[in-house]
Amino acid sequence: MNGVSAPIYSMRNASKRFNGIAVVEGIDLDVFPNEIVGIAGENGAGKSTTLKMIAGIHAPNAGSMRLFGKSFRPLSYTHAVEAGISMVFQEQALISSLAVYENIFLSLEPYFTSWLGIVDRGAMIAVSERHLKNLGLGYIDPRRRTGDYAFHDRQMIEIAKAFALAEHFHIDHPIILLDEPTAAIGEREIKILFESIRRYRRRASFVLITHRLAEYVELCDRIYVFKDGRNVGEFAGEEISEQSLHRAMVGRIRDDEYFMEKRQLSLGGAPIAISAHGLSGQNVKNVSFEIRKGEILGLGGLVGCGKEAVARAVVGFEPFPLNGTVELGGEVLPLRGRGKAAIKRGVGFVPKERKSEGIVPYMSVQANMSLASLPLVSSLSGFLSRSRERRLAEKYINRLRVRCKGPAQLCQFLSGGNQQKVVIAKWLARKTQVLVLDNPTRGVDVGAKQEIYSVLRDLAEEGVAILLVTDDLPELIGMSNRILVMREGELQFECSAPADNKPTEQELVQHMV
Amino acid sequence: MLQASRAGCNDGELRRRAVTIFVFMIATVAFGFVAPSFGTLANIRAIELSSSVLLIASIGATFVILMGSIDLSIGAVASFCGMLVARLSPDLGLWSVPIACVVGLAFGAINGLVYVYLRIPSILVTLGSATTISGAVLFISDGRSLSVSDPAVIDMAQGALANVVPNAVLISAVIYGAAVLVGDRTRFGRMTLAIGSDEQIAALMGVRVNAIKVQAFALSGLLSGFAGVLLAARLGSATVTMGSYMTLDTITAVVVGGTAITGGSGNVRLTIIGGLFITTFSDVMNILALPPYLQAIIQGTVILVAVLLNTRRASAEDVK
Repeated sequence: MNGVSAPIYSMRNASKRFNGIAVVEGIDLDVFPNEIVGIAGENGAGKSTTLKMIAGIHAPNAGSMRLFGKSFRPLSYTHAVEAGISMVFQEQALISSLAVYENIFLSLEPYFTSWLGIVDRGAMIAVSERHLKNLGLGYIDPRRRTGDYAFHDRQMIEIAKAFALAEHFHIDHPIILLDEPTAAIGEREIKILFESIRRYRRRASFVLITHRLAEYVELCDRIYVFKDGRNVGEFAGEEISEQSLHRAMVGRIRDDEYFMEKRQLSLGGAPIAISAHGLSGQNVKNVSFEIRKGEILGLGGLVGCGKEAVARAVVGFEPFPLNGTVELGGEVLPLRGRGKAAIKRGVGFVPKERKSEGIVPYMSVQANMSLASLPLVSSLSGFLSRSRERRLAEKYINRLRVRCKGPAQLCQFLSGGNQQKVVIAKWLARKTQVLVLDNPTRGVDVGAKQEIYSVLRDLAEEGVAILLVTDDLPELIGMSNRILVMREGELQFECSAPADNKPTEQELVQHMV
Repeated sequence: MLQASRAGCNDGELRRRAVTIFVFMIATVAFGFVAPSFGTLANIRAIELSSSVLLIASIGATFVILMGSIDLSIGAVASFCGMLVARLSPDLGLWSVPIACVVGLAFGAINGLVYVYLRIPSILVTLGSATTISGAVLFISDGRSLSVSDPAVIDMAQGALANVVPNAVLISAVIYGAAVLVGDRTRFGRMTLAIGSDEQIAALMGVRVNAIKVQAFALSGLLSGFAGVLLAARLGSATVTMGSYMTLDTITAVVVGGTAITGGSGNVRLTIIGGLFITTFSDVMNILALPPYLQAIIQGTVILVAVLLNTRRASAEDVK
């Protein structure tokens, strides 16, 4: 390592596939000494996957990596750590009931063990203390329970751990990967974190992912922009600005056929189906809107902007809103027990987490479809009628083109897209007036995506009011009659999106960041 | 089309069930050859009676396990209710039976309420209540065994319809039929499975998850109480620990029947296989007069193999 010209880490032509779907394709990436590198891109662009490939958590399907001049093929995260790469995880990897020093040297106890088999705690504490002091974290007592420290302090402990481990494995210049380090901390803590990173860069290189473009601009020396798993730009020094970054991030060609924009209704004086006033709560500040019958209202914004919380506030599920009203057909839904009241009045909710909140995998298709409307498929005796249930299931299997062996097949064996159709069918089965969808096409293959869009168009034509919360910009623009953009819990921007005059991705993104 | 006619049961489920039945049949036939007295009427009657008792308790356990919870107080509740019938039947006759059942239901409901509202894991709640209830058994019996002599109570277990079908078998068949109906074709049945899969799913359907949980534990208390009553009536006496074997045997019956111990997968319909299997197996070992320690060793091994054959191991991401 003489001078600054040679990268200490490099990735060439790396690709990663999950279940045959390419998430990352042909990525090149270098990290130089003392450098802070950013990886920017929309949700699903492959940022996290790339970081995990560097950290040995995912093995690339193709391509090569080099570290400190040698070929690098980590078999696991531990392997990467031994080679000098550490990751500060978004959902922290420290065990809160252990002391700080125990966390720092977790699984390295044998190195501190005397021939009698006794762990030398004094040495572990001393080394931990030295590292914490070196990083200006002298206020953290390595003997204390990790859980006693606030989230941002634990983040610093993870960074200290990275340095301690690097020293332990005789690496003098570690690479520290930061996966959305600012997602869960406040402005003040972010400032402290950034100052620390700038100081520590004398001894390490950093790779950063964040969901705020401003942070890349503030912190990074060089930024890679990813889109759809590919490298679409590299910016350094003067070229870095929020504008240049999001111009590179977005700008996909939108196909109006794909979203069936010709079928989009023009809603003159359609009556209002549902309205929300002053919704407030965790991560949501005073959000109001209304949706007309047959309207698809799109709600966009970056991850963490509070749009999911708005969806759940409307349907009345956790995280519960603290304030605000939801009015449905002239009737105000109660704040307590809103979930039940909303369902009763024909509000359906397709949640983001299909696997844990949408379907029961070990239940048949027909049992899943009837789950929200059991009284409708019951006979006079009060017991569910299998034949009614089957007829209902057959109807929606045909209508939504659910690909399954039959109503009796377990949902577990359906593809993601078909599972999602089952979740939608669950609500259609009970005459839904308002349908709230949170990222309905996440993890769904292209064909099934389009079928879901077609179903949404059908529903709109039948007069169902739809709230579509999505991370997918083209989907947001293509599907919506009107678009709301949120930022940090507040409504930031509203525009109408008629079929012949759709806003561009750039127009929306500038209000998101 | 058999496949489409069963809501909770699809092709894979049927196949898995067939495997269990097959293993069960082979084992039974093999036992018949090994032990000459296995196939006698008296022995078959004995199997019928003891599997009736176990089946009734296991049905309650199934709904609890389907939800991903567990009830470790089944044996203690059974002992208590059996003892209560022995205590009360001299005065109250057959009326002691519903009273004991209501007490069982109350124990179960308390388990459920503590679990749900004090947010204590069910395994700990029922571990605690099992100990408490076992103490209470000693309290109401002074630590002695009591005999059950009321003819109506005795007849409930030992009598037989037209001298052919034992009453205990009839009763358990009716309860089993009702349980299958409840499991497949009521909201309660569907929601226990949904809760076991993920509580959020049931909550997002507007279901009061807590209410379902308490109901399931109350049902488990009711049925284990009744199983204890039937056991006392069958034996003609109540001892302080007579039901304690049931706690683990019900769990085994449920799991051998293909219900996942983690919840979210399975069916009360299959529990009968587990119940029959356990009872038959221990019966045969008794007939063969195997020493008790050898019986325990063999039974444990066989149960492991049965579970191995009958659970979805590949799908369990985190085996705890």
